[in-house]
Amino acid sequence: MFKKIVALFMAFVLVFAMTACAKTAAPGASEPAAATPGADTPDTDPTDANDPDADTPATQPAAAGKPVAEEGAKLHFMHIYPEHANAIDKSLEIIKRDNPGLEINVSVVPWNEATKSIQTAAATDEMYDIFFQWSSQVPGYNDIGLLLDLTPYVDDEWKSWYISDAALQEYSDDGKIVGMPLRGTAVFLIYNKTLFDEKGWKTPTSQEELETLCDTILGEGLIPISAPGKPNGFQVESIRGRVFDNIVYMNGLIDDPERLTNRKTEWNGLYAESAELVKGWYKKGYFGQNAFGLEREEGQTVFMTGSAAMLLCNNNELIALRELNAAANNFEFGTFPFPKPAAADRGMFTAAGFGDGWGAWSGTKYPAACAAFFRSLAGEEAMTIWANEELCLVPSNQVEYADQVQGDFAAQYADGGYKVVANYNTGNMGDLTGQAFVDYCLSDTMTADEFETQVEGIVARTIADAEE
Amino acid sequence: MLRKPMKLDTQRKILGYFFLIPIVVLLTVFMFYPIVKSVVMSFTNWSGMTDNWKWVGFKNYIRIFTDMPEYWNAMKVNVVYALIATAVQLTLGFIMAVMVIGMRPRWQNFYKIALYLPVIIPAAAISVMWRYIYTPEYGLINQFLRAVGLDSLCRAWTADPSTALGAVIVTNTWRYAGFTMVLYYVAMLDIPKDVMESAQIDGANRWHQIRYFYLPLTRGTTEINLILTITGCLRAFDIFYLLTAGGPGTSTKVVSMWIMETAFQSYKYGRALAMSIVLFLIVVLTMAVSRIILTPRGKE
Repeated sequence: MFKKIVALFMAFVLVFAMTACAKTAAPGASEPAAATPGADTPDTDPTDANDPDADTPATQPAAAGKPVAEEGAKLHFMHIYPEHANAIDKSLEIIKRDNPGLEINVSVVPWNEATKSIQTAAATDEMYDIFFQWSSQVPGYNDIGLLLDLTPYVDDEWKSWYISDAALQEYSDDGKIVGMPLRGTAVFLIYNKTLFDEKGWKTPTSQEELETLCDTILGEGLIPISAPGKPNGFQVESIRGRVFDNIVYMNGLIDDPERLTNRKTEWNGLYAESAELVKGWYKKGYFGQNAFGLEREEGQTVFMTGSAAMLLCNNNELIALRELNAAANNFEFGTFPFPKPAAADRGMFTAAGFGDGWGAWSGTKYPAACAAFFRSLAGEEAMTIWANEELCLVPSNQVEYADQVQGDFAAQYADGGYKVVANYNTGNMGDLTGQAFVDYCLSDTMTADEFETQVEGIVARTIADAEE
Repeated sequence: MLRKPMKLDTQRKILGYFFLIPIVVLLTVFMFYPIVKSVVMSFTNWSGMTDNWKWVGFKNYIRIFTDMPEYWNAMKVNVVYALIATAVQLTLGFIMAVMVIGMRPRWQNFYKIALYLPVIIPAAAISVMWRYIYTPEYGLINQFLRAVGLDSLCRAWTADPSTALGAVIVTNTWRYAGFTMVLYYVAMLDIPKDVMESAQIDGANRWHQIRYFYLPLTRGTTEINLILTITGCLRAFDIFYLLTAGGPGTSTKVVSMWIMETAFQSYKYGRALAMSIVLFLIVVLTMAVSRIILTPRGKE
């Protein structure tokens, strides 16, 4: 026993010696104190803003104005777009040209590792100065004090470049701009125009016409809509969302403040109504036998090989679809807005938002450089590259789209509005509700009302968690 | 006054402790410290992203036991998976070992390698291969069923909640049955040849050999296999993540996936640690129960 104690003691001496040699933790780092965003950031002299060797985050300018990067600024930039290397490279050239002397180190992270990468970087205090973030992550990141407040840098001229106030709103929290939108991410319907023309099918103008069309396509032995959804039924769930939006609009709740902030937890059967309708479509085979087993790329293949007449896809898939189309069937495809119910006076497209964007670290030594980086990236030149060379939907109103389908997507975006922007950290709520919907679709016993109650519970728990 | 020289025995002891230092340090830094730290942080609201956290007492644990149905549904998936996969894997591994041990040495070598091969193939490669096998349109299983006129049995194997877990179990069995087989095979090699020869002379047929020799004399291996397989199944992650991603819906969603989502999507690292510790305790409890059940009475 004595030997064990001695050995352990020696080990602990060594460990503590190593710990003592490590760099000093942030003030109060390991104390069990309540989290206060920015609490660890001591006040600094404004002149430190230009000091590249300053150890603490520089202060921000008091008034709005075109940001000028600090002298000798070096930014560590993380993105998730290896497939858009061309646009990234060209954008960085523009940013460097606009900000002479600015150094940018680039890290590329797989999209599904982005959050983990940020988490690790933040925890080890070697955080990226500028990093990719989804708009849904903004409240969560801001709650823990991770995001730089960009409000002082964004002047009216800069604001006027955006297609709508909502674009910046998605990257705002607590009244502050804490991120920048890069591109829109929404689900669109694409159809095989060649096949439609050949069969004499017309694009539907109402939900009822869409059902009739799907029945006709099923009769031809084809899958009406390829809607990949592994594992949380993401595209089938997105259709449910579209149907639900129309139902909510028709019931006068589209601008309900609780809905707009994703805090509504009592739907009184409306959620169930949308779920029941789309489950019926799934059961009839509108999305094929294997919708919940298909990954995004597999869903594209089903459409491109002619097995499905329509495809539910994210607009950012367009570039891949163009490539597949050129390599395979080479049929013509187009898009049409998801049709509204015949009884509704207009359709709803509340999911039209700019989910992909950027954040800057609150602890960066170069806040003005971060802002200057974003300003150059939001300009017409960079946005045009993203729009026309990478077929992305950009939040800029200065861009003309060259691709027909892309332009049609953008036109549908213009019909958007009433987007739900949660003002709390939604975490994995989207996955949970999606999984619950798949469980409901596949269940023979669960009722639509039970599903609605389950979703309301998920939302309530997520809110409670976020506000803990 | 002259200092009394240190005894050789004491010198050796000190030298022994000195050589112990590296391993003790490594174990402390990379094993004990993270475990202790994890336990401590499971009582906090740590987000995993910053150094800011505060004590929340047993709140994370209370939440797991009172208001986290997803966790316990996932635990059910783990338990069902563990029970079925363990039974199938052990049975198959044992049968394969009996078959291989009865072969000529050359064939024994061939089958040992062939059956062990899946164990060393990366999970990612296995999942790609099996996803192809399970694909409804052009997958091998459905193609075979169509070829023999059993079209009605064709289905989306990993997208149908009634078959998704089974699909994972089959893949897992294919992957690990060779490992179980090798452990049994080694145990069977330890059975003295003269014992088996005597039995044969006394008229024992193949079934008698299995029933009265191989089964009882490989009991220790069964115990090890059982514990390894059950604990492995309770902690399972990779093959689920890669093959079904927990779907369709939550039908194959295991506890490890919830833990990952809680930590990396909801930024509730403290709670995720609590979930991990509950899982760890369940695994430890299962091992303890298995040992109690499998240890012959009177033998400690």
